[in-house]
Amino acid sequence: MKAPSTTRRTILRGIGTSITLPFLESLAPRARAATGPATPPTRMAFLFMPNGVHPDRWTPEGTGQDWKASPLLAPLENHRQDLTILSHLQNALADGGDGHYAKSASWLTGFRVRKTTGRDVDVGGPSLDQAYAAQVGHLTRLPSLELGIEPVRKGVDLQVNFTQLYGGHISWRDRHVPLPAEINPRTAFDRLFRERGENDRQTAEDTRSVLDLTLTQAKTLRGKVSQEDQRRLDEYLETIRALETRIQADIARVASGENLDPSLKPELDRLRNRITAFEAAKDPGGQTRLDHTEHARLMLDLIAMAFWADNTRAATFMFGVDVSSKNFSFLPGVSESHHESSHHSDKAEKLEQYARINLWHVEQYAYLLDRLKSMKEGEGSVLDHSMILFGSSLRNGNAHQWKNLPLVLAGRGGNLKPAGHLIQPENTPLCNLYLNLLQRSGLPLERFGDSTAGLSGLG
Amino acid sequence: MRPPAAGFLPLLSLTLLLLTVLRLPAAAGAEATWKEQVWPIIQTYCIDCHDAESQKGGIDLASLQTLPQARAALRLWWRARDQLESGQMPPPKKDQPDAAQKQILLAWIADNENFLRSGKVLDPGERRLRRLNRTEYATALHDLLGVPPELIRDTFAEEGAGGEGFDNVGDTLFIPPVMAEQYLAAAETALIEVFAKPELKARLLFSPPAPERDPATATRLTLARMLRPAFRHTLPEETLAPYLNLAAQRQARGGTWEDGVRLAVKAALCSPDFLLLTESNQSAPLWPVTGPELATRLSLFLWSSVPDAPLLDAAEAGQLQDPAGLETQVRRMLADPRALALARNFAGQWLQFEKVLGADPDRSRYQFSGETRQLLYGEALRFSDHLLRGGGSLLDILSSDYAWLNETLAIHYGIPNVTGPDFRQVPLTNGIRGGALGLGAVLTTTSLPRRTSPVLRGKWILEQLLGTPPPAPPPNVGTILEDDRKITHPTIRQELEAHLRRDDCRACHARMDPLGFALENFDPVGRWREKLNDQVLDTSGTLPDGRHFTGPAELKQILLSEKDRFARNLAVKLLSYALGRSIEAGDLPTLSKLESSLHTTHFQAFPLILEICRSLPFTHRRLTPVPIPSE
Repeated sequence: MKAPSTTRRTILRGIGTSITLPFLESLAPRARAATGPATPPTRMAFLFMPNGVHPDRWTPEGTGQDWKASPLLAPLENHRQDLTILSHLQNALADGGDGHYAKSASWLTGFRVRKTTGRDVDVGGPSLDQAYAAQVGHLTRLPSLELGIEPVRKGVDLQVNFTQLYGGHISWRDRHVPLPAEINPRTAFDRLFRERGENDRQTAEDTRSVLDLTLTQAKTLRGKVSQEDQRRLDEYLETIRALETRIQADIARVASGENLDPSLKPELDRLRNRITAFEAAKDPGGQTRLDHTEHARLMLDLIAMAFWADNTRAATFMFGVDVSSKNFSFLPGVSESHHESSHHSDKAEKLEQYARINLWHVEQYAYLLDRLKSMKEGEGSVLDHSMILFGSSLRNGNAHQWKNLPLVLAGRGGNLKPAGHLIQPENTPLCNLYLNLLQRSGLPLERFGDSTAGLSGLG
Repeated sequence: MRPPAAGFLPLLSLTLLLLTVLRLPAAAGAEATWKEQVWPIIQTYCIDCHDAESQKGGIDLASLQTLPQARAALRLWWRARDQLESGQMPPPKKDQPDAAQKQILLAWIADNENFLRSGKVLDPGERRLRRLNRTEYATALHDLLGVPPELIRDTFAEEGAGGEGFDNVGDTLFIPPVMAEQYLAAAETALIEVFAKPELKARLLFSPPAPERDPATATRLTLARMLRPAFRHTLPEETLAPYLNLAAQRQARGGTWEDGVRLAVKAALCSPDFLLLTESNQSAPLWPVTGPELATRLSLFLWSSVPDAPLLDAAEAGQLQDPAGLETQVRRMLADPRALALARNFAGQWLQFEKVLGADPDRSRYQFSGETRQLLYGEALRFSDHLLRGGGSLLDILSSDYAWLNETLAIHYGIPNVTGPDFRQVPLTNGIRGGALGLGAVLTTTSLPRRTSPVLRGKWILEQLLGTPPPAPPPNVGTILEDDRKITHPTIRQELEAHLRRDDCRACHARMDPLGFALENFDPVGRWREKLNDQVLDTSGTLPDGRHFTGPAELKQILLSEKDRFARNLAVKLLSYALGRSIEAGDLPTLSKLESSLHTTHFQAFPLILEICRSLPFTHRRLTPVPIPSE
């Protein structure tokens, strides 16, 4: 079958009606042409919990499918058939330097992070989500989605000589460029689902003429600046091209059909209304002061909806920035802030609070799995076509441990076979897991970060 | 009890004494001194933890083997000196250098500083291409179009920071792929606002087509005026032409004249000429920047925005190269309300009072609301603005006999006889509330949600006011309880005294904790209190050097004796903010001038700011680093 030719005119007409379309078999000419029956795409999401876990309450008893939930994993009981709990994975190159920042920045990259107060920020390579987005990002409205619920900490930690921006970014486009997490649900919603303001041919042409001019100027400028500065200018050129690509992706999707899954529209309306209600609670004069649980759930719902609509296939989410001092006293029995509770000195009362904060995170993860499971797709659910990793860059926060990290993987995307409690040999690189995930998503890689081999045991 | 190793804030006199007693042998060359006397001590006592592999505390001493490398590591030596003198490094459990060895290190650090200060190195430092940060972008859109900055600012995610901790450091201003979309959206938002507000629209479209003015001329006039400050110079024809074309083409596609201009303005707001800060290059080792480039440096420093027409007029007439002309503009700019940006963005980040906008004290225990938040921020902003542009002295940060209050905030603080909603300067009769340590915003952001933290407050004083940050605590040390109702000892104070019983805590906490104890009368939202859990608070403290004080007033007197450190730190912070980069060895001659300006003018802000605007790094540019000679 020959792809329908798309003229510039249809492209421009298309932009205006670009609204969200769920992934439906009827809308997958590309996939169908290649493989016969349409296969829903594989999605990846990585959910970061700062400050580690209560180490004694995490690891389940038993191995394989016979695992017995630990106190912290109890909220995941309903999803046990979809889970792999990974023990003994480590991020060895995150050792040294400081307790937190290097570990969160390298959580998804697996390289050593350069120590710097800001000059020459370098995490060694792109993060896992971006490696995947580089492969499939052009097929969706957004190549990737980065969300969070806590602003990046400004400033430099003078005690350890690290810029705190490392602790606020897990997603790295390349070794030098972090991708900021959007924390405003409205902004994220609009980027993902808004029917573009430019809903006539004229506006589309306007946008294109602006981008064309901008691109020309940037190229001219590039010839005038020093070699050192060209890198920054290339980032700028890249962002202009990214927008052009996104517009193209919108066009391609609209060109492929007009079907809108009727179940999506009311879901989107509900989500929009929740965001409106949530915003109404804003503290005058301050940054948003909101219900933390609802904030987290709105962002997770956005990821779920974005996956369902196939608006993106790679997402990261930060429950907090590293060293987060989020006040968790909204939880019963908790009076501590997050980071402080993680330095529990093995005192029972502090450990208890630490565990409750950990548990809250696991509950939100379970919420996301519930949502993905409820979204029908093909013969199964969106969860069946996703890989959803939850975890932290630390085990025991009190000791800043980087071994035996707390990690749970859910879903069956890329033919993952959930393995229950999967215990690896001690000191297995975390990147072996990442390599496996990328390989089963169709990336012909032999190495990722400090991987030694693809992880076995995931089917 | 072990005698304290050294003063909490090493006394300048001690350093001077050491220098006079112990001169390094003059005969040895600088190279030999470094290699044969200094480096071996570092190798013996420091390198274990601070080699290329471990780099504890982010410090890699192994990279300093050659003398030029060592000379360049100015900031590192400042820290090393502070921690050596106060006995924080090497840590107590490690082998310790003897007194003579310590003195060799300290003498070398002082010698190196004198060497750098002598001006043998003429280096304006590197200035990389960067984008406007989100504050500058929003402020510029406000100044160009009249739209409210907060409408625009929140389009963009919070930015990280680098260098000395400011968000205008080019190294950390990345351009993620989503940025173009955000710029486009922000420009659209701004233009919708402009075209919805008749007064804003009239301001932008000041010369619409008229019988005596054809549309092309009208477009040219409109865009030339709007784009000049946005692009920060008068536009040559080849720069202006594409925007005129864009407007004309838009009209040719069936748009009105307004549609054309609107689209051209939108394109300009997304243009690299507006968004990216670039400067022209020459082949010389270093050169003075052009007038318009200097104007841009000035407007970013003082206004967090683009230049206005009078500044560009002066720049293009060559007046900024003339010291008097420069001073005229600096005076004019500081008098302009736009210069409130200096308090908002420089002081807000340095003193960290902007963090109160995100603070989250437990409202069931402490009196805190959205209004309190605004008042605390407003007080800190007005206080800082008074010091930077009003009649105050920057030394008032350490202690002042006035505060900026309105009625509600005065009630919050328990200060009588202030009526009405307007902030005004209120004289204080005791030494309790004055200075940055009396600002509720600072006291709140250095507290935990459910209790005060003497440690965080002490750390804040050492880091932000005096520029002597303590090293990070070792892992596995834990913290004390966070809810002051659950403290098992009668007071937080007694909990914290555990620090003094542990070798790995004492050296640093003996400096930090007493400072915080003196502020215990301020609760986690800055209100005054005498008691906690029915116990009268003990606000006395003793520093490792034996100096004793009780309560905030006496603490401030101690801080006032640290003027030298405060001046150095202030100079470092303001220069770094002005340059948008971290401070390097080549900046030491400039820093020395700034410090002496502070001392000779009783810490007036204007001479300091002017000195920065005239300084070599602010007025010059280079591409290739200037090597540091050995001798």
